[in-house]
Amino acid sequence: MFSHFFGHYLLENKHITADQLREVLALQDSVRVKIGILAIDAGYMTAEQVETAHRLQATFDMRFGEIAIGKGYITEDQLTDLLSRQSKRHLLVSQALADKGIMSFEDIERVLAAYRRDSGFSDAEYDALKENDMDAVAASLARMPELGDPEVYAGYFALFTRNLVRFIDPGIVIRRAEKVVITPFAHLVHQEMDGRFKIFTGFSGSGPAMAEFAARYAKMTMDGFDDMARDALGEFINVQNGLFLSKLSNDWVELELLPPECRSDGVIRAVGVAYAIPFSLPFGEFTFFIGLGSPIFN
Amino acid sequence: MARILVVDDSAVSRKSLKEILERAGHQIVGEAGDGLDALEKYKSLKPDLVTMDITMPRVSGIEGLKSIVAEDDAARVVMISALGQGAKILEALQNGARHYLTKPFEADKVVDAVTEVLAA
Repeated sequence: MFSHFFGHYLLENKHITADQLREVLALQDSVRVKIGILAIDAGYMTAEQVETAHRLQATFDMRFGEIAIGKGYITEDQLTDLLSRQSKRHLLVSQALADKGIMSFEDIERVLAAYRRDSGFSDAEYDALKENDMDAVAASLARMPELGDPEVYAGYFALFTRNLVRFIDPGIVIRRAEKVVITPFAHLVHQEMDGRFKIFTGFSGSGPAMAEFAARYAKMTMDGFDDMARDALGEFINVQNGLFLSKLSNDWVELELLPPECRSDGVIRAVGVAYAIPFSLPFGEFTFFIGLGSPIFN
Repeated sequence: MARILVVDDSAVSRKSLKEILERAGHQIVGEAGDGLDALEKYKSLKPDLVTMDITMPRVSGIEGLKSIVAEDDAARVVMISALGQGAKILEALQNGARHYLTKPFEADKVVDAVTEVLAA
């Protein structure tokens, strides 16, 4: 996570090129894959157990460690030990930049300090970012005080980012939530939840970005932003909201889901309180929306 | 091999289920995009089993389930939905659903559920 945030900063500020960023991030992907292998190497889990945990992770909204503990493969102490072995992963970005000769150690030190300053993160948020604590970072950036219970709405966005990582791409970069009233969009997928209160959620992006998003979710080739792409996007947000409503029902809050919809080339006008959270994936820029009530579209 | 009707407003979901079930040796005899279409296709195709989404336009999957069971109380309907609340699962089962899977679904769980319902 840190590598993508920092990498995006390096790219935006022209410290590195897109090709160099891809090269450096490729190293991060291999490290991420080794989380399960770390457990095998430590003698905590067998390869079969790691495969089982990965399979279960694809179905249930749970972390690998939670599943491994739940299945009795490892203890809490063992998980803590494994996690401590990956906590320095954010250093690999800098190491890769130096090893590849892309930046000197002095430049890296300088840019890291600049990023720390420019990011606007608090100490706690920066630490969470370095620890790749997706939930903490997402919840921190998704502060939407006027929506209501922060645990509910920040929790929704944390679930959204976990689903992005699970189904689309781990390279997500999130920006802070901003309250919005009127926002234009190129292409928008959205869904409403109704009951004791009404919640509107959705996300927008350009045609090519949304088409790529749809292709990755459906694991199909898309012919641009076509009907199948719209369908796949609707299904993604349907699954996201279904998981959210399941969590809400554990707190005795029951809401209904309306069918998802896609719209293009319009303006969304919030009726109640609404927020936008810009986020980036390696293939495009998006904006996530969440608000109360049913918005108006022009 | 069973003759199966797949009901879901998402073409992507229908395609995915069709591939899973055909790989398991079943025949997809029809597809529907809402509960009303599901009932019409059920009457004309008389499938051995129906997979049914819930959140659909026009007529929901729960209403579709009720209408199919009212038409044929021996109907075998497996709900496959993004909705995983206990109350929703209970509602489906109380209205005649034989099984309930939540999305995102795993291929082997779909096949197992269909096999189980067909054998019952």
